[in-house]
Amino acid sequence: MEPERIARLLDRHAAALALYARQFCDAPEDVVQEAFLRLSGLNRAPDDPASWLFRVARNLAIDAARAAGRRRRHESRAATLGDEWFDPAVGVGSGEVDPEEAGRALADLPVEQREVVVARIWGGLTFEQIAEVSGGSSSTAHRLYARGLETLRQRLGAPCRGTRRNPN
Amino acid sequence: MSRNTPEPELTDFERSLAALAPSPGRFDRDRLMYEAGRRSVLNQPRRRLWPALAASLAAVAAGQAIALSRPAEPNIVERVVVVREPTVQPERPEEPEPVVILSRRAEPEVRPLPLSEDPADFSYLQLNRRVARLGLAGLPEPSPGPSVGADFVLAPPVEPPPMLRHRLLNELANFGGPT
Repeated sequence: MEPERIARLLDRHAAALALYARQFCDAPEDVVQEAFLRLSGLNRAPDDPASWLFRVARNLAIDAARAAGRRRRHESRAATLGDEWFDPAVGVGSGEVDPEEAGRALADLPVEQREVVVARIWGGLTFEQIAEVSGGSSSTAHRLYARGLETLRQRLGAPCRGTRRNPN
Repeated sequence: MSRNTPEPELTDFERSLAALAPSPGRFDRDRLMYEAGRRSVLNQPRRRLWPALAASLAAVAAGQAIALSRPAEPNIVERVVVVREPTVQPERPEEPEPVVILSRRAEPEVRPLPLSEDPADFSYLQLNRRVARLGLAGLPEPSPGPSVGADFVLAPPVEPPPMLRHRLLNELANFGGPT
């Protein structure tokens, strides 16, 4: 794969991939780096590089957690690390959602819902891509996403307002 | 998987969440790009072809060098050879080959048969056979005397009859002696 394309994917998905891998393991940066290195080592670029990256990052993160034997322990203390998931300098000015509160609310979600919410909102994946990454169906991904989003709305106290078109 | 499925619209709450930036973490972007470029070059098939070829040729050369450095050992090949025993045939008594001696040097040893009084010994056919077999030496010599039995006993000279003697003398007188 061309270096320019890898650089674009890195700029576009690296942070979201790290947030996504953080749901499973303690070293998300290592997982993301290994995923990009594997992508660069492919003789033929995958048809959907973003989906491929999320799937590889998920598998690597789960493998890393299993190898360390810390997955459950990490998931149990995820709430304590939720305030590190988002950059505090970004989003404060918007006045809608506080980054630290969003991180803690997100950390309280079940891992299945949290995985889908992160992949959908910050990863920009479609439900079909999420289903392909997580190995489920798109309807299941959509249902988990709806539940997680409703839980976040309640915890963050956000009102139900109108919708806008998907910018992607 | 169809990519044309319309995605549901984002609500304002979703947009406000999407406005949050994930923590950048401890990424070293330059190092990651360097490692990615290095791995992409290393994984190219052409890059691996020549090292693999060189390594295989080096292995072959090393093997031949080892083979040449060893002294040549005799090549012992064990083979199983099946030898069929010949069928034993009953031995036949060897027949003596006939010995034929043809030699003229045996002439002196030929013992001339003495003249016998048997007229069959003087028959032309008998003399002819003797000459054919033994040559002139086979001609009988005039026996000195009569033989008795199987032993060679000199017999007293036989005087021709007077009439025959006279006739022979005349012939010698008229025509000379025998040549």
